[in-house]
Amino acid sequence: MASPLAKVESDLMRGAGPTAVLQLLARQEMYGYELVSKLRDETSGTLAMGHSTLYPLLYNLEAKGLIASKERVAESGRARRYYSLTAAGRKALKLQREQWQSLTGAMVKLGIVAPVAG
Amino acid sequence: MTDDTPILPEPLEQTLERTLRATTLHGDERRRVEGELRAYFEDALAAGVSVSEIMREFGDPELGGALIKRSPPRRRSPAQTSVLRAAQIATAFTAVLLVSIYGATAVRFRSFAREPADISPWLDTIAKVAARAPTWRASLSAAGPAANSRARIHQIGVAVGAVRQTASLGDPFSMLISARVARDIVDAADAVLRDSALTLGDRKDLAARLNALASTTAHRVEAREILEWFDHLVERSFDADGRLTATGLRVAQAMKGARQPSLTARALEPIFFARADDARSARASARRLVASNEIQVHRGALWSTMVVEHINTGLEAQATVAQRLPELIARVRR
Repeated sequence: MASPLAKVESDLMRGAGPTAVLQLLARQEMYGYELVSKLRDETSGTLAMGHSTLYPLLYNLEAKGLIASKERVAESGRARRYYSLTAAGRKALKLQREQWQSLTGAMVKLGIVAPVAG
Repeated sequence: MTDDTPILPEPLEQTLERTLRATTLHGDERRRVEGELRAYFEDALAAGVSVSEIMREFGDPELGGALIKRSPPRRRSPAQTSVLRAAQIATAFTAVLLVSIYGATAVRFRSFAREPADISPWLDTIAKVAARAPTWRASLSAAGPAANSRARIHQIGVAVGAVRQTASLGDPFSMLISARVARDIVDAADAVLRDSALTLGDRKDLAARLNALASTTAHRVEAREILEWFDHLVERSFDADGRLTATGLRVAQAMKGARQPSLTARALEPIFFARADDARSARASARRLVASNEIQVHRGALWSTMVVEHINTGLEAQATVAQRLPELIARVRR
């Protein structure tokens, strides 16, 4: 079994990345570097992604209407483009959560993923 | 990049430039990507990440640019995108529909068919006459009121020569076209005769040319001859099912003076002749219209309209010349 700190392969990342980004944006609006930092730190590097993955992903989600962006001045005084979840994005995230739960459940049954204690 | 944009360390500026070039984006989309990547680098530097570490995490600029190119930032809202997509589909559908209609009519009217060999010389003649007539008529008006009478008499002589040559071809179409040029000659001669400074020599010269014109136009084409000729044209121009033939198209082109129709003309023919009339209604229209001296055939019957317009304008010109020329010759002899 792969180490929990191992980086996810690109095929898996393609499926997990959008959900992870939607999940982070469900908490609060964020700009690019903030998203990259949180993804890296909160997943111990497993879902870390560089700009070449992040920005196309953000542009795709925006084109689908799941997120929206707005440029404004950050606390640092620099202009940043902030991304936030739209109503359609919340609906999509809810659906994706359910799908990931059923996928994880299947993986547990197959013994690929260990059941969460408690 | 604007003047107040902070400069990044040189390796990052180069990486940014290579990435943007690889995106092949322009305008607002390029500016937006540049702003975001620049901010990304600034944030990383502010977080204490070294330039080499940023570049390592950044990866290959060309690959990054290519990925952004595949999913560029959209300036349109999802609703606008949907509307645009619907418009694109509608446009594509319309284009396919128009091409199909055009293809069907092009086949029906044989736009690109080879010309029937047996009528080629005749088409050559009428196309030549139709193409030259405007030049002869223009030369008469070019020598208009401002020109001296001698120059105008010379132009009249040239035009009389053209009328004699055209009328000698013998077919009704050529004779009708030459009648239209003859009418312009009559107008020009009338203007010359109003010149009080006209010399005796000029008068003799003009009289000789008008006499030559009179001998040429003495034979008038009768409506009966015209209709026989029209029937002959119709016979060749429509098939047994009443559809316009390749000959019919070539006749129409030749009457406009086009011997070798351009690609554009061939492409547009099916549209112009979408309702090209049919043999029976063309004959009926011609008889009715030649009798009433109108030129408007029923709506959309372009082929008949065109041919009958030639006929009626020619007949009208012929009648005018027959009426005014003897009177002009009498005046010039005074």
